[in-house]
Amino acid sequence: MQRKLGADVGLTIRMFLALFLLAVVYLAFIGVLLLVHVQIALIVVVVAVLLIAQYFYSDRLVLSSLHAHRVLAEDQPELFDIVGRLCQITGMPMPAVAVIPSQVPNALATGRNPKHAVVAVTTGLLNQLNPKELEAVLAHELSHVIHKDVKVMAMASFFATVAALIVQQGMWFGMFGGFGGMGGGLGRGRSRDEGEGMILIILVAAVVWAISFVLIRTLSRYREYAADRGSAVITQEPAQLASALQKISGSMSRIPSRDLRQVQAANALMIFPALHAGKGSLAEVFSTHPSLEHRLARLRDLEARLSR
Amino acid sequence: MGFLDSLMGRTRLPKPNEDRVFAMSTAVLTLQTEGSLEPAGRVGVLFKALPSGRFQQLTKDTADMLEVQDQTAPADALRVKEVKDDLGFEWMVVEGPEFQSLLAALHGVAESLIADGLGDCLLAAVFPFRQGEGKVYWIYGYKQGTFYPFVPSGNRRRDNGEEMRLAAIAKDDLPVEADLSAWFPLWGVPV
Repeated sequence: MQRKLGADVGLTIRMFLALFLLAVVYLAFIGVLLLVHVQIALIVVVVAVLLIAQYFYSDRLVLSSLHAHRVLAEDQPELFDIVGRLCQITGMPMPAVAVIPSQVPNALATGRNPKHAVVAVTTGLLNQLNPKELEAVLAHELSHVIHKDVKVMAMASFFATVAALIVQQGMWFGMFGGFGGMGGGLGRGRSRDEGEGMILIILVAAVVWAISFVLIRTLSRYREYAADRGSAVITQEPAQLASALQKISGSMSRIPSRDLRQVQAANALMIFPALHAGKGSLAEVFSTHPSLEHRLARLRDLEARLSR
Repeated sequence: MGFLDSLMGRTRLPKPNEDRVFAMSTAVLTLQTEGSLEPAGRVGVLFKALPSGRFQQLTKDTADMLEVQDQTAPADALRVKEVKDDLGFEWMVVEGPEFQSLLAALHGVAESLIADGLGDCLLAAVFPFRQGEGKVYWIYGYKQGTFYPFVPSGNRRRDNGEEMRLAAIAKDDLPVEADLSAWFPLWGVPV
């Protein structure tokens, strides 16, 4: 099976490239910060604390923002049976299972590692998909857990967040207190040099922010392809995931706006974004998920390879 | 799953651990004497549904293999049947009077699946036992390489107390799964 699906060398290379470019951008950013001798330590510490908190509590935050509630085997026997069997195949521990009361069919997985993973599905998903499609979607979500996507994306966006914060804070300080407020630190005088250094930092941070934004979105799309592929490895039936994605996207356009906003909060974590970009290739560059057409094309390739 | 696999988003399914299932060969005696369990004359292999056509061929191969076995030992007739359950998973059920030859047949089924490159699909081997009026199961997880007991008590409930007792009885003879959250139930098992 693994043998038949083989490895997606292209995807691996592109994933590596995205991570590599991100590392290059971040290293350059750190280099500039060190060169200019401005004290950014405070911001780095603040972002680190924020991200660590997010890393440990994101599952609970995301789930509570979506009004997801944990369910037990008695409440959703079929859902539990399917998740249980997928865990047996993948040899992973049973994640917590949650249901989101929404008619929008969607699913998400979160949690920093397999031991603390939560897989959530909406009631709409349970209503609209047949067991095979549900299995394929759950396998996609479990693949995100196996690939430790929460961890990878948290690491990938660390310095992007630092840069974003510098740009935002810097502008604020620039407007109200002149540059140097951030660089000055505790009780130090604001020299002209530091003010100029700060402007440079903000400019660099803005560039880092912009480039890393595109790279992180690119990485996010690759992780989606990887999870689609993981679903195919686990279920051996990529066609079922394709069918599920079509059903999910089909009902997306009919959904009421209230639910749309409700789901928007966790867009990046969803199997299919509630607010997805148009078909243009430029729009896809900025979106967290690949387009439906691209995902279906890849799943067709996988299906063909398995049936050969 | 190594660090690089997760960084590159590669899913690898763990390889099945086929050998440790033979721990049941001796453990069955302990279960009979201390747990008052009687083998129910059947064993089953649970695996992920394969693309249609492929599974038919496999069943034929396995049936052929078992027939050969039949001829060499006609007194110990084995029958094999395939069952598809509600979740779309496949069961290969082997029936016969003698436990040790059932275990050997089970090994043969798993081997033929692995030989066909389908080892990734193997989930579990199921050993049903009679316990008085009731029925209890020992389940072997191929990916974990461990056993755990499963005692359904009707209406999708399980008797955890009895499961703990059985696990305690078998702990010296079987590699019992230490992580209780991996004691996955198999409701409506057709074995």
